[in-house]
Amino acid sequence: MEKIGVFICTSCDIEKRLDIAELENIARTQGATAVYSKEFLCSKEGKTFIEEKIKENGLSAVSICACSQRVNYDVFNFDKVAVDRVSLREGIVWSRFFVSEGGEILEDSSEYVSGVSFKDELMALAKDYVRMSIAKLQTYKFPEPFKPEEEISKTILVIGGGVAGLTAAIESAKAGYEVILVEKEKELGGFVAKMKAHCEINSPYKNIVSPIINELISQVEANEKIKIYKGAVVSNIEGGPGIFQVKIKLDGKEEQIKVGVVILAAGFKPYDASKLSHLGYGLVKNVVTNVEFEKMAKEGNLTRPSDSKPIKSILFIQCAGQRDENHLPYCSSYCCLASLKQAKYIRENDSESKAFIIYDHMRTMGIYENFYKSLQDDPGIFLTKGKVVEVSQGENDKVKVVVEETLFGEKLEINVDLVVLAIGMVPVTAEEAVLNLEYRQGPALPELEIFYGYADSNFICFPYETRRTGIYAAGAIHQPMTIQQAIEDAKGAALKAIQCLVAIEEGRAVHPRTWDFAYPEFDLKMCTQCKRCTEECPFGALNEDEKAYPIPFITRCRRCGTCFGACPQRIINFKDYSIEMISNMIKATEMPEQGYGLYRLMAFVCENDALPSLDIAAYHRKSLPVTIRIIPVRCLGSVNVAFVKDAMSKGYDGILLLGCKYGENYQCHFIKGSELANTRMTNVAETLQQLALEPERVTLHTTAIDEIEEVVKKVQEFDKEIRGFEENPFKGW
Amino acid sequence: MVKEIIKMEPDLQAIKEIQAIGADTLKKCYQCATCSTVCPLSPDEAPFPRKQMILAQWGFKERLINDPAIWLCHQCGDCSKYCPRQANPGEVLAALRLSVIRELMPFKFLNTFYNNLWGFPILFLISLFFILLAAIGTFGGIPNFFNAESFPYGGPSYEIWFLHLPARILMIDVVFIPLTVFVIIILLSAINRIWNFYLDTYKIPQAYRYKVWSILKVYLIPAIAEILNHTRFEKCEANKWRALPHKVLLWAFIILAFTTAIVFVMADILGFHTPWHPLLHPVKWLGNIGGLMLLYGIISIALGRSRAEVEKSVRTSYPDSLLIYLILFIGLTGFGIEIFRSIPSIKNATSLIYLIHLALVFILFLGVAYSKFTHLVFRTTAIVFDLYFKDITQKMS
Repeated sequence: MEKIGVFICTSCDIEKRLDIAELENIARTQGATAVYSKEFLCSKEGKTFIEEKIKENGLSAVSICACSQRVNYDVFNFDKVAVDRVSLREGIVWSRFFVSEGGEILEDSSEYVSGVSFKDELMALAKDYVRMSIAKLQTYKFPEPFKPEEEISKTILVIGGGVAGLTAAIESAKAGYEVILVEKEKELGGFVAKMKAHCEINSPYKNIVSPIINELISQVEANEKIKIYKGAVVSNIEGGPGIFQVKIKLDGKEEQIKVGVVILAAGFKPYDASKLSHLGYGLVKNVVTNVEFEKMAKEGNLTRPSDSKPIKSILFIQCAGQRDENHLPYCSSYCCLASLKQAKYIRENDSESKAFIIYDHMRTMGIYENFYKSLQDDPGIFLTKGKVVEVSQGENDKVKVVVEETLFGEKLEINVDLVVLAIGMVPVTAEEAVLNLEYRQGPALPELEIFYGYADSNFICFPYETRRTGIYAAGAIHQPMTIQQAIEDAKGAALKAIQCLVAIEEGRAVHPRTWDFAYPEFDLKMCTQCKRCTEECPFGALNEDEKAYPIPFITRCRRCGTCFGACPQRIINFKDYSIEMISNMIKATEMPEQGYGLYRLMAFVCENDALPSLDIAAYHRKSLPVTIRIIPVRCLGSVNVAFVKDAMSKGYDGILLLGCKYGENYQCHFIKGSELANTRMTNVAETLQQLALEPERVTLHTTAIDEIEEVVKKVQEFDKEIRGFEENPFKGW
Repeated sequence: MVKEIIKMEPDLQAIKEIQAIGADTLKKCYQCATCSTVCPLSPDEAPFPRKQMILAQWGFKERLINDPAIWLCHQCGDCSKYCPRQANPGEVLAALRLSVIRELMPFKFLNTFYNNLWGFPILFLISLFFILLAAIGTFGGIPNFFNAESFPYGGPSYEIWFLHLPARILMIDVVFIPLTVFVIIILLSAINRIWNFYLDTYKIPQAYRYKVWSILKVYLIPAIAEILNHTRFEKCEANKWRALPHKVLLWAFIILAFTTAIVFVMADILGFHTPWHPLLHPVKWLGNIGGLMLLYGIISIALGRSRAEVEKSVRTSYPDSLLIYLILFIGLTGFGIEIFRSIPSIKNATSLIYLIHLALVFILFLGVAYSKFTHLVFRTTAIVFDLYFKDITQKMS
């Protein structure tokens, strides 16, 4: 950027603690075309002022030296002008204080170390920040929307024609999108079509109704925007959002279609009951699964399988092969409702009949507590917590069930005509890839094992996102759920799919950096085919050619910069984020000479959770060491080892990386960023040791957005640890 | 303790019966045990009413009969107030008590009459039948029920052995002495049964199964002291107001029973016949004090209940109302006789009021075995057992 304007806000304590004129001078020295200071830049007058000055000076970039980038981003937004934000308020005046050992805050003019007042240090920090911002803008290139070479498709592919798939198809079509619906079986309807009835999906959630599926099927079949493939499977998907090429296998022939986005709603299979012989299945007469019983009920056949005598008593064993490490370790969430519903079938069929439900915990999700309550009121339904210890053949073809640890405090023996095992759901993705992606990282969604095979992800705030951009899971393949939840889920997934299509059309990132038009660009001339980028990309955005060069699919990319951080050749760069940029920023800072008495620390802080937590700390006026400089990064995954090298050779005594928590319950917005950064920093530490430097000089800490006290403490402790070391010997080189 | 396997065959009919006599909310319980936690009376070693709730939900009648806990409950309503499901454990236990009474007493149809509004006219006719039969027999034909001088103050007098009995006294004796004997016999037999059930349920070793006399001597006296003081009842929180009127009512019954006994001995046996002067005779004083206490107690209970119903800590079922109104009208008609007969211009109305009073007292006496009133006997038994059980557990350990 050629013409850079610097605007310094004097409000919110900035003028009180900083010397504005000195900052203006520094900005000019660093090469700013125009420098202004004014109170309340975020006000209407402030914004008009900036706009006027942009026009007057023909500025192509502005550095707003005021508050954090996390606030007022809507105000400091100017057409076709690059904006960088210098956080003087949260980053300096609200977060750096001279705190005495006794805990009181001293005057800024007090001497901090011999010959240096705290104000001097505060100004040194502010000046570094202004210099860094100008250096950044000097290297900045204006991002342009990404447009794939081929035409974008806005068709939505829905895999699975059950309640979730049908709903997703209807909702997408209603929003005006073309839909292709692929169903593996010969008929639409999935599981719900095989049911006699289900719990009502509207208030008061107390009754059972005939399956709603026929209504959904007729809506789908009548909709001109929905093209249906029955008895078909998706055999291959390649490309990326907006440009997916999908092969559909139908009657032995393959048909290729182009779609923009995929909704995965392939559903579940019931757990294999043959593994439940300890509950009598397959060994004792008149023991069936809830799926089998549903079929019997639908056929109007409420009789004992062994002798076709009417069922006068029935017993449901909840959690059969569920919440059990030897079978399904999780709760399938629908089974308590299903058993209550099936008990109702029996009770409605014969008012003298009895239905027993032996549960571990009754779990009727959400408002379906109403259904549970209404069934509880039936005098013929008997519920107890308990552990079934024996299922055996009783007299007259009855099944004898022995239950321990009951609410009666005693062991019970119950003899019934039929035992129903409430078996759980197994997502289709647990057994097959379903999607059959032509991706370098494999045909299925990654990390399914964490979610027991469900096409779920650990995105706490983004429930529909999978780790494959443009592919959204809905229904019982996503999580175990009820029909009502599946309908909700499908609507959400359809909405996410549409958002994705819009983002792709506009040429910006899909998620979570939805404002971001920049994307990684690869200078393959220097590529050494090391495959780090293609292996480490958390979203599988990169394929490889036969020579192991990366083939980027930008519409799959989420702009985390993990590839950029991984690349040892530094050939991957964004227009607004590059190795050169960060290097220039580091170089622009002022490093005191050896023996100055104070150290300098550099922190690379993740914008997603760590930076907000520091901002919140500033709102609470928590004090950070004045010696630490912060460079916000899009993800710790985007911290290239070159940054560390540059900072060390500049003379920084310690380098801190602050990012999201990783591991099993990771909170990283880009899944692997902080974890990969940690691995990379371990390698850096080895290098430091070879140079006879303390490996602790480069430290990575993780934090959650709400861990305000902890994050401040971690930074302070890091500062204290570094002060225990000698000065960085590279200082002043 | 070795736990045996219980064969479950829930009794659907039993559940419906319990639901019909005030436990309609029974099935709403989901066994969270908030009730047992908040209950001020529930002992730690055998807490109630959580377990009684599921026993009742499954129609486990035998278990409930054998369980003294349902009688230890004084229906304070703490449980009902805190129940997160509005299962009203307090009311359920009240219904269970009624169902146990029904289970233990012979002639179940009588119980049915007491538990249903439609049964009341039948009970009234039954009592009237016996009283009229006795009146016709003792008065030598149908007396004039619109003339106080004919009934009750007319009719012949009888000299039997050394006894001197006017018709009105003999009429009372021939009805109420057999009734009292009948009620006492069936109650004693029920107490015997229930006591043995308790012994078996709690598996009391033979060595600790004391003789009746020593049980009465050692445990009945403290039990009665406790009952007279209402020590358990006063622990209740949600409906603290109930303890005092109930205590007053209990003392009123004791006083009235005492005066009745004096009158029986003095008049029926020794021949000092009534009417005694209402203002000068000390027995009359005592009787009037008892009557006033009865009215105070029962009216406070009725008013308190309607207040408590608003805040949902108590619900009143028909058997509750029956007992309240029965006692109320016995009190009112009792005073009515006293007032009417002392005012000459309306004295003749005394006959009908007296007749109604006697009929109501008949229903109450029979009700000692068939209505909510039976708690008098079974709660006492359960408290005695509770004291006995605590004592021997201490001795055994």
